[in-house]
Amino acid sequence: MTLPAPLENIIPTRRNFLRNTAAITLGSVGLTATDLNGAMLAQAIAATPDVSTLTRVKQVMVAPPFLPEHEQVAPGGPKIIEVTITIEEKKMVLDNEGTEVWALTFNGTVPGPMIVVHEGDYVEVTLINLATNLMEHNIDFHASTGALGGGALTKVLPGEQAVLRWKAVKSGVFVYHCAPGDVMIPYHVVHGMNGAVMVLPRSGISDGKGKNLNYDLAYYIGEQDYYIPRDDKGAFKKYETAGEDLTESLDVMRTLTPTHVVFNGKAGALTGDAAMKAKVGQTVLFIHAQANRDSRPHLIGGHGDFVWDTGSFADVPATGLETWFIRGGSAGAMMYKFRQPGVYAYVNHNLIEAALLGATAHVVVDGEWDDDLMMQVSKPGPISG
Amino acid sequence: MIRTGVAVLVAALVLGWVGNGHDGSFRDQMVPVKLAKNADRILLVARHEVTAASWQQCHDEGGCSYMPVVSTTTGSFPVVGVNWFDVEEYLSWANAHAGGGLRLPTLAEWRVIDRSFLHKKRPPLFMDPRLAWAANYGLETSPSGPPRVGGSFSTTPDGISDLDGNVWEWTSSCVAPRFDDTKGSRCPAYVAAGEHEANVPVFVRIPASGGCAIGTPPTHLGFRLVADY
Repeated sequence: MTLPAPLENIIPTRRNFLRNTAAITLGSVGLTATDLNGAMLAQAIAATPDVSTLTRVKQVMVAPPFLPEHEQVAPGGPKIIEVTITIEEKKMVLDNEGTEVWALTFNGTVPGPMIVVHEGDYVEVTLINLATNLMEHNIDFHASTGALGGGALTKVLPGEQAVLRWKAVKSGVFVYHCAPGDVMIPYHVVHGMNGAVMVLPRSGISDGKGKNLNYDLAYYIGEQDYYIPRDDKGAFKKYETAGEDLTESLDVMRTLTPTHVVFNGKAGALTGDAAMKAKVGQTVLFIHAQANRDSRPHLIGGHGDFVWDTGSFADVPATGLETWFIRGGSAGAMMYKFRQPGVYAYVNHNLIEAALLGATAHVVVDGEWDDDLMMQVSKPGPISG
Repeated sequence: MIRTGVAVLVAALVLGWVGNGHDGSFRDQMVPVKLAKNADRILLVARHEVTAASWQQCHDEGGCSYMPVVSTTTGSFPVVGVNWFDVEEYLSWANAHAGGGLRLPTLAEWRVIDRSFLHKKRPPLFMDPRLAWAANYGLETSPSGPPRVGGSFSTTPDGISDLDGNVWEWTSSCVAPRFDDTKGSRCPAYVAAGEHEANVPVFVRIPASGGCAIGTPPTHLGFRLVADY
């Protein structure tokens, strides 16, 4: 479906959108608006268009911490966003010491790739379980409605695929994860099988008071808790195949004490050359997903200008926060405009988890230092007086 | 306590005298390294880092009160996971065996021992002196993985192995530039040398695997013996 030209023209910013009072025909949605406002938009999203007539767009998945190419403001009416996710069971190294896990992955990465759509769009997922895998998998989208988040309709054995289409009726950031049933649900999730979906409001993200909030860059941080069994000597055990660790993993999982808490699948995955990058003056959206366990992100040296820590873009964001809270089983978003160059640490501010278990990432920010914001008045030296 | 100490000392002297054929012959494992080009200052430097096997012996004989978790005490795997105080105990024990003279290298000596390596130097990340605190970010690398058998990494023309490995070596150089141990104060942290130089607090046995707010932690902490010629 393509929208008539007038709507295309007014949709770019929420401010314009709200100002416009022209009568608009909402394409195949079949609504006539005399005053385009939030309620009208909600109606358009709630409408049931003829899906067979909607434009189909293939979204190319990219590895975290990056997001697929997307528009912040929806260009036109609802579309069908097609994504393909290939499940791969693969051995991954998760720390500097060479500790291994047979990760269960969506698309070969922990976390799985982020999907970005707009409210009212349809997500059509082709879920492929490679024939070389050993386990049954599925996918439960917290952003979707019905059939256990799609989990009941997507159970695929090795060598099978399934296609699920769901409508994005809630805006915000949401977790997705594998949920094959029983003990396998947490087992798959703590072996890396989770990811996130961002459903943007059609008019973009706002501060809830009528002002549009645009970002120059966006990063997606998936936090993963691992529970790796140890041998008699206390060394982490290694296994020949995926699933071989099941019994011993469940024993460690029952302690509720992770051996590793990492960002992007591995301790140090977002540090050094792989650190996130930004420039002074740029506004960055950080999306933090944790499919299993609570977390408390904190940007050392900066703040959360706008924070949607429950993840809903329909809510008014909190402002100027030091630390925010991500509930296990959810994703949240934080927006920050960098004002000072240097290195920032983005951590889970349970500092034991940050420093000992791996939950530390870095942002390297280029630009001019601002003495007004901070200056070293005197260097460390002998105590005087 | 004193009796145990004396017993250890006597046992060590006897073992040292009969030549026990294991790690006791500390100096035999060392090679001479010229400290300055046109000078005759020679330092004896152990070819390998102190091994887990040697540490086990120190522990068995009561010289080392702490025994780190090691995967094996056979072969010449380096001991790792030892802090400054642990190392001081080992040095006392080893010197009792060897008749004294064994010590850690200073940072300056370590740099000479290591001089044949061209550590990849990249330009600093920030040139502004106000960003000196962040200038080295990302330039430091830490070879990962479990400790490997001695000689798994490079060997210098002098015959010294594994200076570029994944074990950082305690030096006797305090990070405090004005530190003077004769004034009754204790050094809070010493430099551990390896692929980069790290300031390690005296209590730390296992550097944080998750990284610090800034900088790359050493992968493992061990040490190497030197002796004056």
